[in-house]
Amino acid sequence: MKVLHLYPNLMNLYGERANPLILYLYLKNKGIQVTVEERDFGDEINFKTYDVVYIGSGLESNRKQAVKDLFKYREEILELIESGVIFLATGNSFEIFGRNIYSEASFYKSLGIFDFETSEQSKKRFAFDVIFETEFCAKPIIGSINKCTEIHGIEDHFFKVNFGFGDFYNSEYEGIRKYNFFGTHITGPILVRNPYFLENFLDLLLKRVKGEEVFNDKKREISNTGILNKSFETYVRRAYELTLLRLKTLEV
Amino acid sequence: MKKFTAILVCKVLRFIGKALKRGTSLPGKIALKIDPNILKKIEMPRRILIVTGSNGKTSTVEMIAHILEKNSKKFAFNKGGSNQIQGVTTFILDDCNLFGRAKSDIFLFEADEHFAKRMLNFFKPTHLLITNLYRDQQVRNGNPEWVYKGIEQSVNNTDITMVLNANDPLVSCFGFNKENTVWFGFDNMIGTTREITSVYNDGKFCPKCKNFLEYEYYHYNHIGKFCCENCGFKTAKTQYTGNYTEEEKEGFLINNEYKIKISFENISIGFYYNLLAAFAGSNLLGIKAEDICKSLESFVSKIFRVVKFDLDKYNGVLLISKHENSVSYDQSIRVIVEYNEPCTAVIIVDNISRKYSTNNISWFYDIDFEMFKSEKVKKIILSGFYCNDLAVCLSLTEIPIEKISVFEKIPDCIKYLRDNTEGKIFVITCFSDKDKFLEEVAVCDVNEIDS
Repeated sequence: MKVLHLYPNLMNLYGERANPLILYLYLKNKGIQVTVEERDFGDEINFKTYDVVYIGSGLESNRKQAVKDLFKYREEILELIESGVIFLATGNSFEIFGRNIYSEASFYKSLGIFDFETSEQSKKRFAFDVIFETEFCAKPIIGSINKCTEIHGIEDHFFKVNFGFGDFYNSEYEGIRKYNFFGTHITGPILVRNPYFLENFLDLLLKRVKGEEVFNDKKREISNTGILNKSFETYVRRAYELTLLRLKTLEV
Repeated sequence: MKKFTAILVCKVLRFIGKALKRGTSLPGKIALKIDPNILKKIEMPRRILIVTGSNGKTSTVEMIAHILEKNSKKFAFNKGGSNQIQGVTTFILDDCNLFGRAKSDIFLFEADEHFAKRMLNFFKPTHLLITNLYRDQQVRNGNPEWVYKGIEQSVNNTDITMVLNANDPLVSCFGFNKENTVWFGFDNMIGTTREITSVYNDGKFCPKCKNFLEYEYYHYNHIGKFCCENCGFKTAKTQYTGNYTEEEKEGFLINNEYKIKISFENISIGFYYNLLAAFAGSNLLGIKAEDICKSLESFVSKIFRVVKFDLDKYNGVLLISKHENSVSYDQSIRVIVEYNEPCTAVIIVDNISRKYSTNNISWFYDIDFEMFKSEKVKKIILSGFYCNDLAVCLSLTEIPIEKISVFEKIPDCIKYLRDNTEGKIFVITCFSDKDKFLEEVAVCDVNEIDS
């Protein structure tokens, strides 16, 4: 299995290297041969060879560079997404896949894979914690957002807002989930902080790559050797529960 | 007339406030109500220095204040760094006579990055010193570029002399192709590397043109000597140049002439920059280089943020670090690893921010915990509300899992330390959490300044 970590330097602001890392470790732990390839600004990218693509958040000026760099791959990326290859885009990186990005003085065209529009301003930054819900996972998603943009025009919502706000101020929905493209403004190690979401994400990945039988294999017991041992599972779940509980207290 | 009333009211309120031991923001608040432009009408001192940046501003300002004091300068400074314009207004009007003329010859301000840009809208300093701009406090600052843009708008087209860290690419943008810039930086530093050692590289791309930035060397993180072949952006020629080499281990040289002695242990690498910045700042405020060196000798031992303590038979050191600030954590971990004797490391993250409600732990993944692989670090104890998140983060490194113990409650962590410590104890934590640990142990020596 091949994981593409797109722009590990250009789009790197909030410890998001943890996301491809945890994918790699879990897959390896399940006995699957997996490689993570990093492709940065200016590198040649053969998108067709990957099973899953991850891209994290970056400076607003770097996101613009990413758009510039990716434009030549637009058709390839569109084809890939429509064929169901899994994409996870966190933070402002998912705005790259929308139509236009407007700032106060000007605008630039983005990839236009999806129909939504992004508007950016330089007066106020929104940084806050969230609880989101999604059909994709029975348990709520926790995370933190740090943005200066609003997004309008998403129809295929990824999340329903439980705490915090969504695509724009007071919006009840956040992010986009269409085909197997997952885009959210949640930044940082989302897959590490949300172990139940990670499980379903891995299931989806395995189902696509290995077929139905692995998907039905519900044995989630992980071996007690290596990094992902039992105590790791305990830490991950406890961290999730504690933070969720604290956020719920704030919510009231 | 409005000006006169505003000053008078402010002074009276301040007088009463002092007697009642009240805070400093109310008099300034009322004065600003009476005359919103009051600060622009004041006859300011000939020299005003504002110090800002992510790390080291408190230390730098305290050092400059000490140097000014030792050299009998008539100056005023906002000790502890009030981050409200009302407090600063009180401070300035308090120093003025009733006609609005400042009594001091120098004003010295510490302002956090967010506040600095606000402050610049009320009055202009003669000098603005920027120590560095790192990933820090997301809720307050957003990201480093966001901070840069905020300050840049306020200093553009002014005649403020910028005093800048030439080894920090983002800070260097303030002075690129601009006159009126004074640069400080290190040519040589012990521990300099050819390749970056931290887990992320904020110097990968030129902040001006976004092409790749080439580094000749890194002093730490993305601080070093850089050059962009595309647009010519590079580390500027420094007027204040530090040289810290093996031969001069007990201190370092500035401009190959002035020796700054350092006589204490557990110093973090960023502190050398604070000393250099303080040297540059006070020199620009009119103190002779020789006099600065002399003044610093009587000061340095007081400034470093280290608390020594005893826990039963064990000696410990608490290194005050900044949560949400991976550079600060990297530097503290480096101090522990460079100690190079058997030790037990403790990390406490219980409350991420004093000012804001945040549960954002993404900064853990920006810290180079891999350094803890060192065989001298025998045990790693994680404690506080976020100890499980820390444990997850450390599990993803190559640190042997057996080294790690996890305690949600800080008293449980201390209990464990009583029976299981190996070597010296090093604690890394923030201002917001330090007392939760220190009130349980015997503090022997507090050499720190709260910010």
